[in-house]
Amino acid sequence: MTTTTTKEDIKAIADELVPRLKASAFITDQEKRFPEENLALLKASGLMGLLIPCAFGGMGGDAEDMMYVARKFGAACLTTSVIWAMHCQQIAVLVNHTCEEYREDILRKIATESYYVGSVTTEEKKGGHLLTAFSALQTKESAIVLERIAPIITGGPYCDAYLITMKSAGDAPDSDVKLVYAERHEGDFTQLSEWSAMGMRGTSSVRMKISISSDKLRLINPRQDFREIAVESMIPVGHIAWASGWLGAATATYNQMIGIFRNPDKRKAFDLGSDLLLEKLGRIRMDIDVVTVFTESVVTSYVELVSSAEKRGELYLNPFQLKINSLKVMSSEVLFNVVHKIVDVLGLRYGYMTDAELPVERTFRDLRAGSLMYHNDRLLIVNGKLSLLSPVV
Amino acid sequence: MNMLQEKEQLFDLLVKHLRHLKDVNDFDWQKPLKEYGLDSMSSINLLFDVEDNFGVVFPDDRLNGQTFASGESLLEIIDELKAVH
Repeated sequence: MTTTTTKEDIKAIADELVPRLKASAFITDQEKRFPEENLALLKASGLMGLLIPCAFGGMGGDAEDMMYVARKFGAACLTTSVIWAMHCQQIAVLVNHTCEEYREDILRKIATESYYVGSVTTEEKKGGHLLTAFSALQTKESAIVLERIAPIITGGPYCDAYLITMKSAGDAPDSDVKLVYAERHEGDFTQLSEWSAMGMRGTSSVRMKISISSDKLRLINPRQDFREIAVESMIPVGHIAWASGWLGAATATYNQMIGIFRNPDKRKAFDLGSDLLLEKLGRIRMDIDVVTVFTESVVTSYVELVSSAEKRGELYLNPFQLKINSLKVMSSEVLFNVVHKIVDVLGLRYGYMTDAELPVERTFRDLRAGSLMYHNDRLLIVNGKLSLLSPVV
Repeated sequence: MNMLQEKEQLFDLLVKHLRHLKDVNDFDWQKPLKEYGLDSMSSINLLFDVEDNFGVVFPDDRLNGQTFASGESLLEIIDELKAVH
């Protein structure tokens, strides 16, 4: 029997998790350690299967549900939110693009065993460029061999399975990218580095070496062009999930600031009659509202287009491409600046100190990573080119 | 502080924020505060004054027009919040 999960169920599950995820956010950051207890909570909640159809044991959620959950998680622990976001990106790809031969088995297993699936797209030679691959699959006797270094795998040492980009063969063009789904026990996944960073300290985004030799290697897109996967699922879901987490984190910081101003004892340290302070508050609130509305608008568009066979082609057109790239660039820049302004408004005592209850400085460091995660410059260059062909109508 | 003192204290705060109250002797506790010039901007300053002077914190669901409808409604809510506190 298929169990259905409603949107309200999903919201209730996410809401219930928030204080529990928040409880370990401080120590996750301070000790720079992967939030294993939070991952265990996510696995127990069923949310690792949010995007998997109910027929395969998942929750049957869509990008709108993902946005809600990522915002909630971002408000509690941005590291956990981004780890989950990356996982959701892989799941969306698997749901929408896995060939029939493997689709049900893979999705059912991820849903029922609450697998955490990692993303392996980076390579030393290409950096983060998504639509190419240089490491090639090789054939040795009856086995297919996958050998490569991945400079960054978010949560790499803790993944149960991986989705790995590879060039189809040594003599194939770099654009002939295949996605390999491999479970941890199917190969050697060796950690080569530690993760020590300014922010997002718990994501354990480490360098790894991957070696797999198998006659049962599972290519999820043996015939489908990788660009279709990137455009229809990987890019939009990734950008939406990241942006939603950042929005949740910045909104939580804003609410914490308002909480200080609403506290009769704490607000004595501020001149709430000051026009300068009120102007800053006005701008902060305006920026959050702008990102909120834009994010919700892009999510609505995406859900409408991806769920309609007739409209899906619009995902490839410039208007949507511009918007989905702008979402990532704009939210990472504006929300970082929001928290930057909040630090300024709250000052040293409330805005700058390391504080478990008031994590403004942690959120500031975490959000600084936003523009660097698939660098904004790269997306703006793409949008610059697309703009030349796309007058605003 | 007894009820009368409390009412006097609130009155002293109200007159600072009611710019259309010409004569303090004309103040009517049932009359809408907006008729005395209280708008959403000035009600924020009144709110902070009330919280600071009465040692209460208005929960978010009480930050509405009903709370600031009249001097009497504001006094009732202050009493309620003090009782909870």
